[in-house]
Amino acid sequence: MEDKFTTYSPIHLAGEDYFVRWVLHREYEEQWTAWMQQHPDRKPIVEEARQIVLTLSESKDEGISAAGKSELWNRINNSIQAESKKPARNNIRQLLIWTVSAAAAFALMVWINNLTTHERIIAKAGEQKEVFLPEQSAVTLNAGSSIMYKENSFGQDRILRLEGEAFFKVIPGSSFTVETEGGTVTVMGTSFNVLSRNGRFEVSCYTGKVKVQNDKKDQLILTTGQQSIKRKKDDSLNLDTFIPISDTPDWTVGRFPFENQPLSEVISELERQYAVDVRLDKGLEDIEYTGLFETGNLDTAVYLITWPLHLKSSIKGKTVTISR
Amino acid sequence: MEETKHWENLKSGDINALQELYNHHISALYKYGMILCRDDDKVKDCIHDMFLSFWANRSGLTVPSSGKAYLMVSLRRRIFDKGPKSILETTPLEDADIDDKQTADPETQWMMSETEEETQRKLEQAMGRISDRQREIVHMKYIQQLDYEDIARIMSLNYQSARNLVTRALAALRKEMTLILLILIVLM
Repeated sequence: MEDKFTTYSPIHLAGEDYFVRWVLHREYEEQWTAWMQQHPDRKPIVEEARQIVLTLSESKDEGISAAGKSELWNRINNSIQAESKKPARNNIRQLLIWTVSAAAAFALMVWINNLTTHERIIAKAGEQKEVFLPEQSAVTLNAGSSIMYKENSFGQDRILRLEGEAFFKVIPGSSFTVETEGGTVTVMGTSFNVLSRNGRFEVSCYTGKVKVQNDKKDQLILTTGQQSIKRKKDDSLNLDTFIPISDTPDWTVGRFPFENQPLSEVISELERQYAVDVRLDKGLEDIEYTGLFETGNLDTAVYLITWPLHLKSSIKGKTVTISR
Repeated sequence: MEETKHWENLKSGDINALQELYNHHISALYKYGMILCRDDDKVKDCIHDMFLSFWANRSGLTVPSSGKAYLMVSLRRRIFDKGPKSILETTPLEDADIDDKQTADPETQWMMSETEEETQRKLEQAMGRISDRQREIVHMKYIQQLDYEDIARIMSLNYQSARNLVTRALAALRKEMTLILLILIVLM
């Protein structure tokens, strides 16, 4: 068993999966016996933790009676039987209602469609996309990202919606707005990167000036080499600086550097870039990773992530397994 | 696995498979539902609706990797969607407790020796005093005995937050139990 358990309080220990399974199901018996022999001073703590687990697992919750159980099943079964008979009874009426509503829905769709046609561009996992907007601004979409705008009005308002991450090179002109879940970015003519994923909202300004606004109307103006990072705690925007080594972000050239990022974040990026499914062993999500991987070769990328952390990995088709 | 087979048979329209799944999970589901809302009717209604919708949408079902976790998360959503919490749910547990135990007057209760039953009763009281989410996660961890991965999925938390929530819940429980103990001693 792991050494860190020696620092655990009874409450911490009682919340540990390995420990709970040992107490309730006698799993990991050998490991725990050995651990106890090594750390005899932990005995009182283990005893208390064991009491906590046993007491909680024995707590009597109101269960369902046998009669209640079969009664409820009969109810479900009756409802199912009733459902399956219904369409037969009202066959013609049902058909009529369906036809009318389908026609109405179709008419409504056509009408709405004429008002606003939404253009949606998606970069799936494993691909990046470079596209030009109607007014010739350029967008590079990172893997697993999408943008959407109204085709009819984009020329006038230059408003689009982003999910995921994209790098923008905006042709000078009227204001250009990127809406995301975490906030809004407004610019005149400039190049900047927006990341909006899993509660993160980060904007980096490469050239020109960028205005960033969150839901609470907090505002930041960024100039070249500045970035805005949304703090998880209170959603506030924080000003930070970065060095724009090249004039586009690393990811646009297939490089993914990380500095003290939780492994789960790194893995999500790997999954998006290579369109793979990664199985991470429990407890590894929060290990911090510093390093980089590149697109091109999955083997190398996985190696570059696991090697510095002394982790093992195996790749089978589209599935990567990472373990201690 | 047998469970996977039932899900697959359900997809192809076998009502016996639905009943197998029901029989296999109903006890745990009902207990969990009662932790979320202390309302027998509501829990049964939600379970009824849930199995009905599995049947109605059977062809589009994806076979879940953990059937138990999948059922729990579906039930949870249904219970929370079904409007405001019932009055019963917000009533602290100990009130209901007194009703159950009208035969034993308070004095005899204090006199009762520290039996296992007594510990369980104190625990029940303490469980009534911790937060809803703490109660839910303690139930999932120690009664349903799910691992953190499934718990996190059901409660839409990440692994670490689920872990932290258990620690906080246990700390709160311990505090409450000590408090109850103290009150008992003072009253004696």
